[in-house]
Amino acid sequence: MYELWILITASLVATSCALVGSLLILRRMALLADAISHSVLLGIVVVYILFQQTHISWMLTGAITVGLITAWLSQFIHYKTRLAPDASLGLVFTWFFALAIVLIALYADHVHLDHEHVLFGEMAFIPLNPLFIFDTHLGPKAFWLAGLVMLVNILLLVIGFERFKLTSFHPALATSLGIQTVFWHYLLMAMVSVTAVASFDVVGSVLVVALMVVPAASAYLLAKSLKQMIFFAVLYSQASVISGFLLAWWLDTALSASMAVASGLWLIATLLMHYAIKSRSLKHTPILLQ
Amino acid sequence: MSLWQDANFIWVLTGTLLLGVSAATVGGMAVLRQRALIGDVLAHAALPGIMIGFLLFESTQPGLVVFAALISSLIGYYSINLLTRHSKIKTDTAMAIVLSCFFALGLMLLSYIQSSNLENKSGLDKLLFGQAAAMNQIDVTWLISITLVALVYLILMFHKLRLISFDPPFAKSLGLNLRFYELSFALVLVLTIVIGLQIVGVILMAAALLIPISIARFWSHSLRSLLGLAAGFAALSAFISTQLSMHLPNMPTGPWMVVILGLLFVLSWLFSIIKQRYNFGKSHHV
Repeated sequence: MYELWILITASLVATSCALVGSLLILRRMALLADAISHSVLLGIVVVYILFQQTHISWMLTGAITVGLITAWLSQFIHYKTRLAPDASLGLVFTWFFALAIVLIALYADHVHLDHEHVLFGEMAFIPLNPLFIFDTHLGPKAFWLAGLVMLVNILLLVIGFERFKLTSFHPALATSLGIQTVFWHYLLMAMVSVTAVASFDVVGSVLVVALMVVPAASAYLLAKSLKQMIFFAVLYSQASVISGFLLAWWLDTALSASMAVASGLWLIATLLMHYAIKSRSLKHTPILLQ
Repeated sequence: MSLWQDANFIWVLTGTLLLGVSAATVGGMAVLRQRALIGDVLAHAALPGIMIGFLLFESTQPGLVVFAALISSLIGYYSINLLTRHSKIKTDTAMAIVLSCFFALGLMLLSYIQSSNLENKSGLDKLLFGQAAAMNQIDVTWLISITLVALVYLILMFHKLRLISFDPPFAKSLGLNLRFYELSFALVLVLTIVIGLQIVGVILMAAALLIPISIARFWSHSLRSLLGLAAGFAALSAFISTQLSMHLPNMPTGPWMVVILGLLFVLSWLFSIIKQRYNFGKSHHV
């Protein structure tokens, strides 16, 4: 039962990550996932220090705020100071992350976070923090948070599917049709921030990026449409969670890191398969068509 | 002050200052060539190499760390090229993939090492956030020699690098070997990153590379003085953060350095806005 809760929670988190990750890759914003997953840490720490709250709703609010500020501020600095967009993004998120680490060090006695938690998450402790309603054991808190975030992500994706598709593939057309591209951009940023927080507790702040980008990139190699890509990305993320779990169990290493490594191995396998199929089909086509 | 008589403190201060300066100048060139986040990726990609080096030789000797990290970062660098050239994956996605997968592999090996009973494993987790105070004389000697190599390279190649960065077709028409300069610059960048890991740590290395030049852009427009100013700001933040991490226990040097650089960025920005307003008012009167 103990391992089962960990696996289920991780697979919910990985699903959320694959969903938003697919959109991020298509919009060429993969590095924004990196940036937001780092800077949400500041949101969590500041909320904790200011209000002494660890309740999930407070943490989510703090994280969404900081995530949106990161996305907005990097754009703002880019426009106002003509710094390259990637430089301004790097500036904002490293500064936020550094500030969060400094705050953790300053208020070490009051903050329950430490460096280890930030990096690895606390996947092994998921089942130790259960949710009780009217004294009934309802499973771990992290499970409910991950499930809730996944439902919200699926719901938003289903409602806004056509809009997301159009603003990702052809922003100019979307604008000319009267779609608020800015709104959908920031909605996606909010989704990324919420997903990053829900994943943060489970896999730590750096490996969220792996779960967002790598399964989606593997899916991108195979898929022919957005729907297919999202479907494949979710499949890849589940495969990474299960094989990562086995890898961690076999080598006795950190669960979160193993899952990220497993996702990388799946990507390599996909690349090799892709390459093999391509070279074989080249061999069989007449030379004139090559 | 008693701290100044402490030989170790002077070593640490020298090391941090030199690193700040070389990261600011080498990173500055990278930013001006529109490659701001490559440093972030390469710093993360160094981690698995260091861990494998430790597993193979069971030591954290600076020479070994530098060499292992160098190899690992270069593999990361070529993986980005490989991914973008041989599949339809775009550059930003390839960077995120290399960054997260290499880093994850590093963390996996780190947790494997920590759960094993190998000796001398205590310094490895310091690489993640950097701890300048933990450096000793041998570390600093390594650091100084590599920093000097980077700075000398930059000074010798300054004109050619400037030409290649701002007008590649012209540089090519002059018969310069672009590939050689690309490769050597990448090598110097990776070397700077690798030694920076011990002071600012893996995660915040990108900041040490790109924030100083971003600050300098408010103050100047010529490449020479941009790089000089960036080095100056980096040295200032390095000085303050070393002082802080020496006086207060358990204060990570890297994050403090980045926080101070960020504050300098905000101050410089405010200053440039005020200057613009003032100049605008004056020219209006005339």
